[in-house]
Amino acid sequence: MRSGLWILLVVILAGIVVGTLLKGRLTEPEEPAVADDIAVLRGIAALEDPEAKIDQLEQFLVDYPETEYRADAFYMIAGAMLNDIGDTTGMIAFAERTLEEESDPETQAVMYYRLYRATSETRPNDAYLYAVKLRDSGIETAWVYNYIAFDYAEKAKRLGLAASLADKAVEFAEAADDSASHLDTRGWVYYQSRNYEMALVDLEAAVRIAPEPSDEVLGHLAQAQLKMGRVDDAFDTFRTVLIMGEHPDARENIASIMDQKGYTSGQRDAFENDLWDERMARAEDVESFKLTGLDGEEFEYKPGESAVSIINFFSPT
Amino acid sequence: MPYLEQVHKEYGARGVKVVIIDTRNQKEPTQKIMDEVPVTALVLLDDQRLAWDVFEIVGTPTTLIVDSRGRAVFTHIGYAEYMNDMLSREIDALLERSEPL
Repeated sequence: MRSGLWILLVVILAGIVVGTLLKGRLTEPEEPAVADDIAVLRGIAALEDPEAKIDQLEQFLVDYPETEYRADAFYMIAGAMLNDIGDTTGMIAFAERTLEEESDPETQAVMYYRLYRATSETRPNDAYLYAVKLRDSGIETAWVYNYIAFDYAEKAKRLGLAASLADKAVEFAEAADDSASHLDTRGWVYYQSRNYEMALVDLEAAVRIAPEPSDEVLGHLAQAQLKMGRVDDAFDTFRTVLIMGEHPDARENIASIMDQKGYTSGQRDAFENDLWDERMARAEDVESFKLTGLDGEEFEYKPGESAVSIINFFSPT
Repeated sequence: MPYLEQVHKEYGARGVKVVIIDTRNQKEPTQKIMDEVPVTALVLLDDQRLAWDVFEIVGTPTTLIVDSRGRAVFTHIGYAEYMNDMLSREIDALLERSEPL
């Protein structure tokens, strides 16, 4: 994610430099500047009218045939059809046509993702067929294999297919954090398939290579450790999850293990106090900031002014 | 978004402040979402690249839970079905253990 942001920043900066160098030298505009594409795409994304958005995205694909954001444009067209217009049938036809016409692997991946997402709840058999088609497609885009494998693992359905998709995700992962995420998915597929030994191998590897293992990955590992009879390891891993934050499953399992081991109320209090101290040791100071509200009024946030503050960062599109 | 509004309503009177930041500074779509939920908590637009530059946000949604001493005690990336339960437990613990303002 961070590298993606840097690439975006570099593209924008490159656009500014190229634009400055060319300013005044061209007598008439010919081709749109390459770096314009992201600015144009952002402008289209902000449009409210979905029909206009789709028209402009289609025009964008004509105007910028070599853009690196080609897959994003197709993704946004499908999204506007599905979410803004509510035309699932139209979106499916669009996505299937795009799969036939577009050879770009990332575009193919986003179309498979859209097709699976659009059908997985309401038409699971169709979703299954799309997942099979993806498995046999030969595209080397790890995230889409990972997404569908994890969805099936969570639902504990189609676990054979999920395992083969997860294999491909692991095979095509490029970055360490992606590899960890994909190993977690495959480990979770194994866990749901009751193959706890293999689950443990993948989940331990996921935690070992992840730059910062998430509470979810650690939670999966703890569950596998528990199934393999490694109760003390599971207890420690669940405790690590709780240091990062509250988690209902971790709480329940910690309480259950404490019951099994006959923890006294004093031991339970000591556990809570130690846990709290470790949470506080991880806490980081927050800086004050000023931003503008939806009403146009400036607001200054000063940390420590409230008993507790919840600061949520979200993306509307 | 509904879980944040629920926190705002349940805990607002106990000194808990909810701040929602649109990391893409897109007023119209954000306003539309807030109207649909509806959200009455404070909503801000990241017109100063705060998310990227100050908080180094790597994915959305990201939720920070800040204590009375101005420290981010918990950071959660993504959304989970147990978010309401998790936030309530964390807020309760912070209210119980934090020093009075």
